Amino acid sequence: MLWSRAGNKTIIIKNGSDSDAQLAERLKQREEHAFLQLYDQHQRSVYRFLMHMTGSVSVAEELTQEVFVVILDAICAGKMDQFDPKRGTLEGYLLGIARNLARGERRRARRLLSLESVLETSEWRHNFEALCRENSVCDAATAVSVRSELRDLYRAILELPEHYRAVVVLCSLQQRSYQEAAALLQCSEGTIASRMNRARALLTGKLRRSTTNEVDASVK
Amino acid sequence: MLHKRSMKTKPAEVSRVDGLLGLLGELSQHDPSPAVRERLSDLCTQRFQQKRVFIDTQPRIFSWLRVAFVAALLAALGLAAAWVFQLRQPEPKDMRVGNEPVSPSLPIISGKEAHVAPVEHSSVPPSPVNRRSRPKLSPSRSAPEMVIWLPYSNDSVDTGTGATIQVSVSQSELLSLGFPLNATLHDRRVVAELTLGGDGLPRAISLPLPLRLIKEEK
Repeated sequence: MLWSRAGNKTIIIKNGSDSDAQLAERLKQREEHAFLQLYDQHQRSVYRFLMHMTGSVSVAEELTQEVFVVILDAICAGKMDQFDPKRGTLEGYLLGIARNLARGERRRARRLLSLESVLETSEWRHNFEALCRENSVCDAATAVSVRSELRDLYRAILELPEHYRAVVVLCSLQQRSYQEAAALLQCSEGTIASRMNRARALLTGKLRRSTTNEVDASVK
Repeated sequence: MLHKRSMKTKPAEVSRVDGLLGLLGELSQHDPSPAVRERLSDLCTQRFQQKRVFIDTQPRIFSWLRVAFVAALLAALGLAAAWVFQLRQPEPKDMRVGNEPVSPSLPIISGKEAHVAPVEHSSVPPSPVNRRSRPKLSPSRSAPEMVIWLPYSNDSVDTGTGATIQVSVSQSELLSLGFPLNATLHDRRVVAELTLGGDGLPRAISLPLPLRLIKEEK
């Protein structure tokens, strides 16, 4: 298959409940370094999750900052006890906040999600070209076709219901295992698997319909 | 309908979607702007410094509050102790009539109101009562009573014996001495106690309460 996954699937197994507990303890002590360490550890996952959940780079950046401001407020208000290392990870805690913020943002603004904001960034274009070179895709037509398919797919992902979209973002786009996703979303692995299957079926159907529409339009 | 149709997807289509999803994931490895970190760092410094100032001033405020609370507590305890002491202090025993109410039907007679009339069997003319030489009643006597001091001519005679004798007195005599008596006591004599001085003469007449009545002999 031409467009196989480039890159190695790296699963970061976190046996970091102890380190999460220590970091949470340091956060309770209002250590500035601990807060920055928390940001450095989890900024990417939070940002990418928000980017795919909202479909906008600028909104994702804004909400990523908001997630850590919420944490900062919790520290200052002495409410960091709400996080229990025995019940979940700090990353799951952060992603929970991110999910709520993304939901609120989408409900409040009802803004039209701009596909271009994610798929037309210079970074994305650079990555795409690099991937084309890696896979020896010299044909411009193939590249355009794949790019079009990716756009349709991304639009379909953004149209998914939120609980399906979160699973697709975590398991497919962020390449987390079902176990990790279940821990992050606070549900069972079976739920993750069924949601993933359902989401995959929905995406396939949407892609098929969009392809059919394109063919019909070109025939007419 | 949509569910049934979508579940009938071909494995090739599904694997194609999986491939595209993986590709999309690889391509969207974005990172947030470094400006976010700087902003959060500044915000963190600012918030934590504010919190530290608050935390530093908090113990002082608490120490002052603690001192004020202890002072208020001590003052309250002092006031309470004084009040209890005042309550426990025994009331001065005054032997004059009217210090304690004896009966709702009997009005209280104060010392000034108690008019002392001369006693018939007394050969001595009435004279002002020497209050300093009044004998004290025995402390064992706790029953309420009405007491009227009788005039006595010789103040120098010691009257501190406190010897008493019981006598029956007509109600008219008691009325003349100033005892407030009820109208129901007509045709009865009242048992009274005479306090005798060292010379054998009566110094005071008292009515132990409740009154003991004797039918008047004709």
